[in-house]
Amino acid sequence: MSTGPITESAPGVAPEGRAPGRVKRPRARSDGAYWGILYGTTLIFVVVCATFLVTLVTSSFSAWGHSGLGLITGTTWNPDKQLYGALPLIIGTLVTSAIALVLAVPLGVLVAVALVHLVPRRLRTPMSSFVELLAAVPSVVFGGVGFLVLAPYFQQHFYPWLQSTTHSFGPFSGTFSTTSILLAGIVLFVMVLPTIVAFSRDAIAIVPEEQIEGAMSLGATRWQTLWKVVLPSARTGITGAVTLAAARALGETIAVAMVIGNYFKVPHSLLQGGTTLASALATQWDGATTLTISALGALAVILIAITAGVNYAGRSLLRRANQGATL
Amino acid sequence: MRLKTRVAVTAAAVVGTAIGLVAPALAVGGDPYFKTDTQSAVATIGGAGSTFAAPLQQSAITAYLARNGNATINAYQAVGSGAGEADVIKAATTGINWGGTDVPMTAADIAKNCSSGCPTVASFVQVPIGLGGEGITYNVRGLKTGLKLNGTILAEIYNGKITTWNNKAIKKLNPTFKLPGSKIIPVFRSDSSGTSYIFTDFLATSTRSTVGHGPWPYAATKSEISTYAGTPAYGVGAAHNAGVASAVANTANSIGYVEYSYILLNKKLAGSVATILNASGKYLAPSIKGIATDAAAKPHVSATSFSIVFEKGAAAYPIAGYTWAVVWKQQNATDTNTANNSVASTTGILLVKYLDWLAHTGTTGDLGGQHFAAEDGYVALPANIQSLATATLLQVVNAGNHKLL
Repeated sequence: MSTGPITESAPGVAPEGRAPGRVKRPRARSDGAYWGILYGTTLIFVVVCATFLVTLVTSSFSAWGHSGLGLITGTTWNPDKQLYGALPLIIGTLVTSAIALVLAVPLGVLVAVALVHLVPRRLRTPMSSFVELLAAVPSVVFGGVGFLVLAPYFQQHFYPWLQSTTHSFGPFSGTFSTTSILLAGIVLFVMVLPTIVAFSRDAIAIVPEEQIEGAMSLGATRWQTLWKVVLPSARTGITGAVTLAAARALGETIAVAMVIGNYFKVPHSLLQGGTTLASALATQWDGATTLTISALGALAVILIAITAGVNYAGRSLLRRANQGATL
Repeated sequence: MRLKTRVAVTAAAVVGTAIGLVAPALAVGGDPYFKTDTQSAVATIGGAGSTFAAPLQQSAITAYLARNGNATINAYQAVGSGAGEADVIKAATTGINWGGTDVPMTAADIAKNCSSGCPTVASFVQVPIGLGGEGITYNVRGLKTGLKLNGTILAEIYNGKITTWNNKAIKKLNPTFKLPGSKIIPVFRSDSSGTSYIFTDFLATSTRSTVGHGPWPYAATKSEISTYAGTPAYGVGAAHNAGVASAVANTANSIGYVEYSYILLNKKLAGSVATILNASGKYLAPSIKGIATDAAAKPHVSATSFSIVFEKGAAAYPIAGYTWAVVWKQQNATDTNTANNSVASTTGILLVKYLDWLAHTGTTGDLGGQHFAAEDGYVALPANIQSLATATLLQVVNAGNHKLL
């Protein structure tokens, strides 16, 4: 298809000079169509995204006008009395996602390393397909398993054990039922794990074998090679995996609504019920009046802002790490 | 212009025919409209709202379409009472002909959904189309069915004053029950719901001023009765009746309130249903008869006086309520004064005929909508309420103030 010469570069080695697309040469007739299609598709993409954002933001105007910053700082959510305080929802969103990531990132990255370096070649493909299959399971299935299987088990065994081991230490204090912020965090952990494994595995697999062998030949142990060579080389991909996982955890709607208890108060314990921005969108939609719909729009705006913030933090962390590496 | 005239002429003809057909039937009395609605003009209607009424609407619509080949009734959208009201207020843009609500619409509800050029409550009629009750169900191992509870205890469970199953107030009413010391987990509706409204209405009515205010809006003032039940002192929130039913079934030591038919549907819940103290001092489990007796104790309901909780009568089960359909009073597109109302007369005729059929039991050979209600675990509307539905629908008119029913 391409008329220009393409030099095959060694895997992992950046191609010298400018990217092939930027090479200046006489414009062929087909190039017009090429650029036209690219511009067109980009334009469609930008228009779709912008329309979506603008619609969402404008739909939330009347709620911001009604509640102002109380939407973010308020602690009472009661649409019937037109009180739209989303602080319990924001806290619930951040806490559940944090639990999910704290559990999923180390486990997911180590599983990815194992898939690349430990698992025999014959098992690698079936295991990888299984991970990808997990990533495609509808979230309601995770919610259902969490609600029907985990929740009663947690109530009967896990929470009592947790309270007796920790002596009901702060985050594990108080009365518990089946559903809780902790359970939501754990369900989210299971849900984002495949995302982290799949993307980290791809990033780790492209770390050049020569670098690993080089480190080993210099006398580095397996652990040293992992920490000093493999993970630093793969960190861009791993950060991408974590950012995607965070986005999924922050935005998960129905699975969380099924296991978090839908309790609209600022939580004082992880064993207590709670709610998140996304799950509140699902549970509060029915019967919503015009103003409540606008308030739900505002929740979506807050959620997008949080997700964007997490994304930005991930990128700047990565940038700093990369700068550190080149110094 | 021409088209408009033609529509108007057709409409007038249809109205004329309809009135001609209806008038002799009216003289017979009883349920006069069953024979006349089987061949309506070709028209399409649709409704949205209360989830409480959804199973009823679904089976009733199927049955109605089977008897009237010209009618098209779009699938009922179970979006909740509040959204149903909003949709019928904005009928011109939503295309919704009736809104289903468990709590009749008020001026405040219209204001919530309209910013300028708003209609008044008088622009609508509100028709009772269903009757149901709520059961209190619990999930405590070893605790048999028939636990005695009253409004005060329920209120105190939800506001956090009573926290364990062996609380002395519960013990006092149930000396023969083996009550465990485990914590009570109240399950509540996390969405806006007529079920919560009826439950909080029962708590407010039955406890009067004996309990005092708390985080759960059960309290002494009527203003705290709410479709959005708020957050109790502690507990699990679940969406819809089905959500509460499965949360109770799945959570040890929990208690919850659900529409009666959901108890019938769920074997686990049906095995642990509380008996509730009524206004005449009797403890009753929910039953079709108990709900019907409660409703019959208040024969004169209207859109402004609709509460039937805690009525007097030894056999009256105290947690019950009607569900309503909200309809524009004037059904005509050509009337420029009702810009919000885009419903043409043929549509209006089908609408009132369907709702009238829905609100009646009918006869063995000619079943009405309430027959199907009973099949779905609702209680058939009492005869006087069936008449009220007809009387209300007779207020629905076209631009020329001709009745459509």
